[in-house]
Amino acid sequence: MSATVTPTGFDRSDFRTVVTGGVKLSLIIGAMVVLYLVVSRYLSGVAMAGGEVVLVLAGGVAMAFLPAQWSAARTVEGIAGAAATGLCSTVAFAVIDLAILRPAHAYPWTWDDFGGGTTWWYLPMWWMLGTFLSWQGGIVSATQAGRGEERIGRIAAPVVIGAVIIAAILGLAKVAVVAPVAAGIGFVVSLVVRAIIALARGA
Amino acid sequence: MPRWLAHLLVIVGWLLTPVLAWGASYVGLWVGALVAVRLERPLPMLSVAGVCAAGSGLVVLAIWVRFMRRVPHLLSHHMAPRASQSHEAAAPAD
Repeated sequence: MSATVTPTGFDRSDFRTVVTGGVKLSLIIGAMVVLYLVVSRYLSGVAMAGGEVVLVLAGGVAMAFLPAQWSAARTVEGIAGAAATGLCSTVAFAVIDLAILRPAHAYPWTWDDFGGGTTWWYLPMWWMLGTFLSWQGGIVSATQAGRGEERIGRIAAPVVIGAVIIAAILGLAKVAVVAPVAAGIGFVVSLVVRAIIALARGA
Repeated sequence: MPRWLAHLLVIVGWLLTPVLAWGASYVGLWVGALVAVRLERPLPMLSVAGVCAAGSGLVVLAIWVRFMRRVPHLLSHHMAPRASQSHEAAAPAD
């Protein structure tokens, strides 16, 4: 009889699922960061803003909902597995960032200026934000799976639509944030509201 | 202060950010729970505790980020000059 723990069909939060999921997600996010840099460097005007918004929303969807898909979140165990996968991916992304993106001088100087000229400000921010997104996405995915909906597109669509609406409101209100930042803020707010609604329905 | 120590302080300060935000949200939760136990219905109790936790975490995070952005400037007043600068200072004027 084997003493090892074999992952079940649902709520996978074992070490292997978390680490492989984290590394996969970090590679996806890393590719999106490179695409974002390409768009911001070679496009301009509306095309650049549109491309950046699409990439921010796509990154948000990947970060929030892919870990829950991989951990097959149904209960608190799977939601915790999704959050752990998100945390693992942010740490793996930090390695990619420090080993490849930084030495290649990928970011403009304005990026470092947010942190007072240091290169270290955004990594802990990403650890927190990435883990939070995966946790909230896990809550939404688990409640939706309980209703029989497991397709990531169907689960993510209301959140993305909410993000676009919030970004449009910020734009119309002439809040001094650029379009991709407004889309990012909209995505986080929309996801949190969606998670609270899901929890309230489940209570 | 040696330059390497100043750089290390900046790096450690930024990497401590999640710990600080986490701790602040726990303190906020504790304060919120002290208030919430005076209430009777569970939903307002949880809401008060949750809002206090989130508010405390976000406020402390904002203050810490604001402070950390200024840290390189503050440390620059106490850092040893670069090797090239110290040679220039030590060289006699022609």
